[in-house]
Amino acid sequence: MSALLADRNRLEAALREELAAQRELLELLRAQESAVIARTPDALVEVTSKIEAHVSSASARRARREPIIRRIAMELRVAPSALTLSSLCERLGEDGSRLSELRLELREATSRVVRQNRRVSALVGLHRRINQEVLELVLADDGMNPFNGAGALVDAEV
Amino acid sequence: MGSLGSEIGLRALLASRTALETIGHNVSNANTDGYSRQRIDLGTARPQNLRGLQLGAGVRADSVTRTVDELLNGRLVKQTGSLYRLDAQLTEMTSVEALLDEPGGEGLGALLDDMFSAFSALSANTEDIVYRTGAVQGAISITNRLHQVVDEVDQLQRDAQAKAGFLASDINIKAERILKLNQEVSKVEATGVPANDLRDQRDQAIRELAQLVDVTVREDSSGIVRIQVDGQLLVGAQSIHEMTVEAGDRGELTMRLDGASRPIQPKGGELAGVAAFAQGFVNDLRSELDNYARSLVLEFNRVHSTGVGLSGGFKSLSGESSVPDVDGDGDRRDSLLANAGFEFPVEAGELFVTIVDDASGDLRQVKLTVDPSRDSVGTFLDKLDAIPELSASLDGFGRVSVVSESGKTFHFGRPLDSRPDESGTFGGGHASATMPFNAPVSLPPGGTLQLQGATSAFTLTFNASSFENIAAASAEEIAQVINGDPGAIANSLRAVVVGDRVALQTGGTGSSETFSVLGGTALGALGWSAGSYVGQDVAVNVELSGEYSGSVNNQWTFEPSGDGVIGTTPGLSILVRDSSGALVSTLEVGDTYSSGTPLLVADGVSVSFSGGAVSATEGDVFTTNVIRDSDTSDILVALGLNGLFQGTDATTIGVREAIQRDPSLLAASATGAVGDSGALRDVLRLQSSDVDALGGSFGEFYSTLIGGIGFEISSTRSAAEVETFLVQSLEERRQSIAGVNVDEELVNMVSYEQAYNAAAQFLQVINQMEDEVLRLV
Repeated sequence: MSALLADRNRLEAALREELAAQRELLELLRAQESAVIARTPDALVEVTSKIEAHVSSASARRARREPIIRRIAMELRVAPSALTLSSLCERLGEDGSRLSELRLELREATSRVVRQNRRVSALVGLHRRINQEVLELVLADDGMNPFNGAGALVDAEV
Repeated sequence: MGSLGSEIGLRALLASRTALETIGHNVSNANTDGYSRQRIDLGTARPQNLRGLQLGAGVRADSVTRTVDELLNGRLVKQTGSLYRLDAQLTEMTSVEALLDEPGGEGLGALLDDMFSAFSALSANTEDIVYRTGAVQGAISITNRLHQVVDEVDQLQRDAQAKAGFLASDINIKAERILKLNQEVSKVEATGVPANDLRDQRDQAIRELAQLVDVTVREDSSGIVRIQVDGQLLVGAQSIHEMTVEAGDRGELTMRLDGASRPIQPKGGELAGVAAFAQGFVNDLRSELDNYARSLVLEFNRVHSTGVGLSGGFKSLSGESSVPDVDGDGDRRDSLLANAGFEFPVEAGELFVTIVDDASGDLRQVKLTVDPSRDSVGTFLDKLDAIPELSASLDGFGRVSVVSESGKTFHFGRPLDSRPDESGTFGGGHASATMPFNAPVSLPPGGTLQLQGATSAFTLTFNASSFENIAAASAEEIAQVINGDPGAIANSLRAVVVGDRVALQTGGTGSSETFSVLGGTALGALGWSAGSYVGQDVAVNVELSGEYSGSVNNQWTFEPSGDGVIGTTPGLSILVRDSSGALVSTLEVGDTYSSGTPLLVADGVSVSFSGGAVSATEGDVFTTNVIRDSDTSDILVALGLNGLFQGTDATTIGVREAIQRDPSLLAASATGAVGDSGALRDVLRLQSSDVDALGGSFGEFYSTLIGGIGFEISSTRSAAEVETFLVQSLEERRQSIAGVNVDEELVNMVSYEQAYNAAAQFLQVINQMEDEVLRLV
């Protein structure tokens, strides 16, 4: 049991790390929304690159978290893919109370990120459609549209 | 909270859409003249109060505004006016330059050279009618070319006037358009929305108007512009004041705005350039061409009028110019020559008239003094008419007509009198006594002269009534009194005038002829010595030869230095003095002189004497006129007598019709002598002589005229280039401020596109990432 508790503690640390990452991501998404609204491409590019860095760090966090979950699953004799934080908290009982709080916080943070992500996605999608509409309006008649069939905006070279 | 959030997103979306549409509008109008780049002004949306909190409501598009610099636009309008004025001037002036160009040797300069060449050829063949015709044709070509140039210049002027009318119509159309745009701008902006595109169109219309005429633009608070031209209103708030242009006969353009009391004088724009060309440049050019033509007439006629044609002098001659009846009293004769309204002025001077005896060829020269401030037309005609062989009058058209009596011809040349002592007062056969000094002399009123003739003694009386002023009695008046005295007639005594002296002599010649001067109260004043005077059997014969080459007219007086016989008396000489008394030459005719040998006097004139006695004591003397210009008064030019050209300016100049019909009338000779080409040589001197009115020779004047036009065009072109540079700089500045940079706009849009793409990709990744976390929790 002492090994399980030790892994529980390690998992708590990993979840705290994930929770901080989710909160940071939420801020980045809010900044991205502002950049879209303010029509400042430079700011949008900057915040997007920060998100890129953030996304890159997600796999490292996952790599740190997954062995812990696998060991706990082995100790509890369940398949790692079937183990959730909710079931773990139930199994740990009193020993899982802090973990349970963390789970709720993480769930709330992740939900906010998801909502914000949907919101920004919708916003970016709309802006993008309008932008394309205007570009086609401007360039459609003279055959200058570098986006038709070129496949990549970088080919515009402007 | 969810509702407020979606509103913020919607506003942001709308603002973004407006911004992008504005970019699209900019790009679409990138090549639209006068379009000003538009930009969207974003602002925060009005915050909302919710549960005691003030919550931000996101972004919204406040307005779409033009990026313009009104000050720059104003400068652009002004400079545009200057540029188009210069451009219009340049275009018009270039056509004049082409007109005065000398293609194929048909220009005035080349034709002038051709004419002088033709006169030069004639000078070596003065009697050849072919060369005469060539010279006349050369003169005709000059006048024809002048007519052609003037006609074309006039046509250019009329074209410019017509163009001014068209420009005024264009100005009215532009003004009408600006008025309509004014009304539309005012209507739109009354709602609080800037009428960006309408303002652009109006600015563009104003700039186009400024190309036509310089304008002053003022905008009021309601967005309406008022436009003035030369301080007068062209476009008002409610209406325009139409421009009209009236064209005058001499290029004048009177431009008015409807309802204004005074005409306008534009200083910029195409209209100002066209007006400056029509009213200034063309008239200046016309003046220069008229001056050129007038100088041709004056200078050539000065020479030609005193020349002699192929057939010698005239039997009759009529002037080409009519004497105007200046005071309108029906009498053309009563005006002073100075105020007679002649096209060419009469100066104080002298006119030599030569009478030729057809049978003998003998010449008689009469000098007429002309004083335009004292002589009337009638007085001058009377002087001409007083020459016994001539009659002079005005014909029905007011032209001077001179007719010689039968057996005589006349001309105004400058022949040298080869036998200057026809009266025999210089060692002639008559008994003769000559005054030792020149008249006028002061005679005592009622003064007497006692003479003894061949048959009787008699007394002459000089009554004051016989003189204009007896205190300044002229030689002619004294001679007239003597020749009219019965005692003198009865004794065959006569008085002849020699220069300004009176010679008293017997009618016959030979040693038997005699008279005596006895005394009288006038004797001292007349200077004769009392005593007897005897004729001689061997008279001195004097002959002059050569051609006078002096620069001024003169009268030379020849007197012996003492009493003696020519060719015999040692030391005897003849003193030659000019009209001022200065010694011209001393001719040795003593024992070393061989009778009949020509002696050079001066300036190409020689004299020879046959043997005979001369006496200084008896006042032997003879005079001769040496003439450089036989009409220093220019009265022949003024009256159009014997001119080559007629007319007074580039339009009216022409070769005298009589000469066109009969080239033998072309005056080649200055003296009337066969083969003489003195008049032609004088004509040829005109090619290189300075003409006062032209400030140089004819060739130089024309070259200067062409060069001046070229310089003016070059200056205008330089100024236009500077203005073009200025306008371009201003336009570039305007473009940098108000113009649409398509690349820039597209870069913005593509940047958005790239940013949206990148964002979308990561948003997708985040979505997957979050799914994983949610599965865990």
